[in-house]
Amino acid sequence: MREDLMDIICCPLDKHELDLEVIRRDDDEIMEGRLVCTECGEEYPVEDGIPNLLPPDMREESPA
Amino acid sequence: MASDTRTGDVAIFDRIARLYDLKPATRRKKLAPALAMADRDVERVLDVGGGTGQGVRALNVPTGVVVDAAPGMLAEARDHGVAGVRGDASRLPVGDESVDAVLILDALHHMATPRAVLGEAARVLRPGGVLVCLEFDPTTVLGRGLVTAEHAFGFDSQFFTAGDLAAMVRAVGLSASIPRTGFEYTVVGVKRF
Repeated sequence: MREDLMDIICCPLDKHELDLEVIRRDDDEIMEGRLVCTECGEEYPVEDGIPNLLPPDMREESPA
Repeated sequence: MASDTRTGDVAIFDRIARLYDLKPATRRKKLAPALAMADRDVERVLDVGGGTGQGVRALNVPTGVVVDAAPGMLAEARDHGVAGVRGDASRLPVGDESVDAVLILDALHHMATPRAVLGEAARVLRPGGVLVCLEFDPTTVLGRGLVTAEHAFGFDSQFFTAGDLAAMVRAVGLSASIPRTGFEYTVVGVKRF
């Protein structure tokens, strides 16, 4: 994900802003990181450059 | 209604992500007249259930973002240069009044809680922004065939007539119209100022 996506995304639970913690960056793309809700503290991973903002109750479900 | 027991079709779409682009591309000429109904410039477009990003790729807009629950679809979108966010359409990880247009293209019938999805679309639209839904009419001859085929394929689809969908769009506070009817119809909702 690119950093300008932060202008659009929010916590799916309470719709508050997210803080971005970058773990690995590849040029303009954040490949791995964490998005943390500034209100409830819920953490959402950035995996393979894609933020996973599924609510926690859906996150554990295996997609297959 | 049966929505409490419907699970949506995420798992199936994750398995068919690489085949999905074989579907005919969503054509710009279907979307352009609907987007033109917005009461503001359309620069930032959110494609909900947008899969590989065919919808936003068909448009010439500065910012297109796909929200989809299926990770395989988003990897395809990224490979086409479209920003993807993994998320639930009924609990969008998108801020209030943050986009100029929301697209839900041939996708609402796959979603477990369509009324909640429309409510979220209305929330994220800026005033004057536009919701564009493409859907299939189950009462047409082709539509009856599609309903049978999707259920035979294992999809948990729920289809609406254009009138019913327009009423659902109106119920979430948008000004609804039906600019195109037929087997595949368009319902547009504009957020009032």
